[in-house]
Amino acid sequence: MRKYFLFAAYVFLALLVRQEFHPFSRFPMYNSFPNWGYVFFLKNERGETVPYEKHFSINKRAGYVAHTFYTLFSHHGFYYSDGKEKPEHMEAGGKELLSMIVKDEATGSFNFDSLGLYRRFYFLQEDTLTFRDDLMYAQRVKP
Amino acid sequence: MRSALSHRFFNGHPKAEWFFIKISLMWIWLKIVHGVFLDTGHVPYPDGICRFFDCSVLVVNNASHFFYVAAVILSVLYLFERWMMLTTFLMFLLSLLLFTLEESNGILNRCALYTMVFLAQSIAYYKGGDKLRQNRIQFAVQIIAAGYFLAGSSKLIASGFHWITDAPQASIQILKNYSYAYFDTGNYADLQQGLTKAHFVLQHKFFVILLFGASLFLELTAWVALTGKRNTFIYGLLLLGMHMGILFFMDILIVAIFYPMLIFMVNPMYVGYFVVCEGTGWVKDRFDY
Repeated sequence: MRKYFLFAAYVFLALLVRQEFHPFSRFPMYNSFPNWGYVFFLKNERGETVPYEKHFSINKRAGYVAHTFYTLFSHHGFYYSDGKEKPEHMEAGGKELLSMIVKDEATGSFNFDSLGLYRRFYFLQEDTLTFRDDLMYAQRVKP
Repeated sequence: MRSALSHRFFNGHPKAEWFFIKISLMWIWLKIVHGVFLDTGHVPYPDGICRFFDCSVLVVNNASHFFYVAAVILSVLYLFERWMMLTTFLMFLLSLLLFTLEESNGILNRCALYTMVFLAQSIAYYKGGDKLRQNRIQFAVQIIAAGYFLAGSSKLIASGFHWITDAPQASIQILKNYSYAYFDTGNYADLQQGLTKAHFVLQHKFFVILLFGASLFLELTAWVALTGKRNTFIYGLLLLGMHMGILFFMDILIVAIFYPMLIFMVNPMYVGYFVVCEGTGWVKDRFDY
């Protein structure tokens, strides 16, 4: 019994808590494979992609921006899935995300004036991988 | 070597095994804690215990320096095994605060195992007794096995066995993850690699379903790792293989889950040490078994 007590206790408590509440987790990573996946990226006013690593701090990366998107949308009670978000939610969420991305960055040294935050929506259409890019929000970032 | 494995490697808990666990665990824990201080400057989306009090006090007005120093001091105490029941409990509390803070920034690095491993070790030291050497490792393995079991059951709860048959749709997630790398670096080769692997998954559906079925089986039977030291090691190797497969195909390594598993279930530094020492015969004089 001693061999399994903590195993059983942690499984029981994590299932009982029912939500993510550190340190209790159901470790839900990739527990389903829906027909959609999102990636968030930046473009400048010239339409060039702006890589996160070249212009932003280490905590501003595509993966972190995606995590923040889901947390932000859940926090505000905005629906997200299948590329069917409401336009007003996309704009409000995009504005909040973009302001977090540029916060505390040396915007004066940027070689562009404005940034647009885009959401790439990947999906399968008859076994063919395809995508759609949507502009969430754009703003001037250079002081 | 077979005799050495059955008589020494899978029996008892020598000092060397614990020594390499301590070093590996502290190295990775401090790296993760350092990452939390880089990631978090405020608390925009309070989560966990941060819903009950203002966690931003942990990161403003140089408070983070205090916690950083505390993490380093606790690591030193852990390595030198000083006041271990209290030390591991404080490491549990510090991990609880810091990783909740990270999650309250919308960043889900899944560090729950780290936090719980320290609590499990604190319980082992509280119990003390003849089995302390075994318990401080085996209690941690129980938490890690629980994490894998929960991950498996979470898949069944969310998707049922469709999780296995839907596996070809993982091609979208593969392309998504390589796209993260592309948009981070601007290197088109990352995106190309993602496309190649996503198409492979679509073209070899049966193979992928088999792999996903095997990984779900491994997670759901993770409790078998608790039936003895030999099984802990074997399951560690199998889970290591699973993680390497996920890393290869999906470009994902969930550090806060992978490393505790690797350290407590495989302990590669100790394996290397054991092989070298057994080969030279040097070990017999150096460690008690």
